[in-house]
Amino acid sequence: MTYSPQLPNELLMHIIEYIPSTHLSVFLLVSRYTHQLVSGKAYRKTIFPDTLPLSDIMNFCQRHGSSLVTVKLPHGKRYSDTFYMLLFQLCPQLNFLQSSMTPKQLVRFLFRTRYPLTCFMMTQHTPSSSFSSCQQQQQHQQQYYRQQQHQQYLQYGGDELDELMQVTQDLYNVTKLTCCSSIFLFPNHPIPDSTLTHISHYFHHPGALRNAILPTFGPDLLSLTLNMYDVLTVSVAQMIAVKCPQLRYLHIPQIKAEGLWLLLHKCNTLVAIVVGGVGGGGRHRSDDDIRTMDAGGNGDHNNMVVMMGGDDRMMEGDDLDRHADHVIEEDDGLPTGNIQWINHENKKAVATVESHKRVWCIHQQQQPQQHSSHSRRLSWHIGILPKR
Amino acid sequence: MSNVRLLSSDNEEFVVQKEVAERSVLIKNMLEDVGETDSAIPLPNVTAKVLKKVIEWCDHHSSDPVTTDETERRTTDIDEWDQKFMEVDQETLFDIILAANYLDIKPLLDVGCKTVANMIKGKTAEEIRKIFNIVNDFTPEEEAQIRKENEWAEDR
Repeated sequence: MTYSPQLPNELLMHIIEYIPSTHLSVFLLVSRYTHQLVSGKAYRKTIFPDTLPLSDIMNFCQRHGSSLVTVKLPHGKRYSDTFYMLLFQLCPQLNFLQSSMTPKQLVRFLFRTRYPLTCFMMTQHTPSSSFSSCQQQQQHQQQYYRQQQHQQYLQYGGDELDELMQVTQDLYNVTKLTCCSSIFLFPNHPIPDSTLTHISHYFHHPGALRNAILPTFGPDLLSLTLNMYDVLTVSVAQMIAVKCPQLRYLHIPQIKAEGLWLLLHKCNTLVAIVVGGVGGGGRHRSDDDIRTMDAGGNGDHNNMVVMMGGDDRMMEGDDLDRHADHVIEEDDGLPTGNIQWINHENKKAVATVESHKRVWCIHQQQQPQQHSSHSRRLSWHIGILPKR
Repeated sequence: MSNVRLLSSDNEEFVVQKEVAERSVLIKNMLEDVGETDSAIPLPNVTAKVLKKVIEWCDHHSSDPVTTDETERRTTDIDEWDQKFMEVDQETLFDIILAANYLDIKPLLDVGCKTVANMIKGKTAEEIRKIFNIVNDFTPEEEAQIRKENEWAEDR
């Protein structure tokens, strides 16, 4: 064995300072000295297991909170307001929190913390995936859960959500997923130096997504809704992953399984994908089951961008409404056979990611108000564990 | 240009230009304190083998501007010559770092530390302990707890 001089701690510390934060976590295990050196620098993200007691969460955050950017708390666990205040004190850089906070709690929290630039995914109780529904027992179980969720929806979807939207007026965008009473709330404008944080719809033009929308706005986007003509192929997924390094929420009307897999592999920040329904630029600006709106209920004109023709012209307000009529006609004209085919393809693609390690839930959205079961556009909510 | 004589721990003498020797803050201060002298400056913590390497580095970088900006020094990448210079066995690399620290040659210390940092990127805890001769002082329970926490934070 070769002799290797022992470096004093001072020099070891100097060497560790040159190691990028992504490679620091191994030093937590080397010795007590190195553990203490890198605590508070090593971790950017943590997904707490659902069974973890509160004390373990607090201990972890006390030691590692200062570098944490993404935190997912256990599902369905209720914590006090004080806990959330403390969590944010221990994790001052937090920009994404997934928890089972209620809208009311969030209202109080945002007020006390002076409206931080943080994205919140508030999930309520989560049933198992819809794709195991071949077994009758699971169907009954899901029905039971759905009834429970409907109750929660009535509770959180009404007054509490309205209050949340009033309080967060002009500061946050709120998206509600009624299948599991989840609410995704993210900053609307105030991220410094950003152009816009979400695109809820845009009009169809070949190359608009690839050549204009993603290169221009991708780096700042937290939420994106593709229009019904932009199918999530491998190349579209690749482009989204590269151009949108902060993307948390993505709504895609039509997908290919390979595209979905690539997104899950490369889009590290994603926490929710909604597949199916009518995307941005489609007939329904927001689906029956996916309520997307600006806080304050002013419609979602604030942050939306529309590209038309070859000159990539941006339109807002009245222009946009006039063109919306055109899109309604386009959507209405889609034959039932096509809708059924899209539903079938989407369903097949979604089923392939059911046991993906990043997927924590797949819920089929309910759209009872639509005409017949044949012409109904189905949609699924895929809950995703963030990698970053 | 005047020369100075440096004496290694194993009594080997090196004659180097004053300007080159003064890349070391320790030697520079000693020369200022002693003034003009013919006697060799003893460096009891540096062997001839390592001193030769250090002098080679100082000679190559003798005309480099002295960077006082800590951030600039830290963020600059290792240049090609230095990368070649640092292609030595681990024992020599650590000895160069120790010598640079003792002689107070900050840019050489930075290059050495960056080289080691690159070397240990991606290594396991056990491999790092071996490289640095570090004893694992965790109890089995502590180690298990850290591994458990690591699972919550690792990339999925």
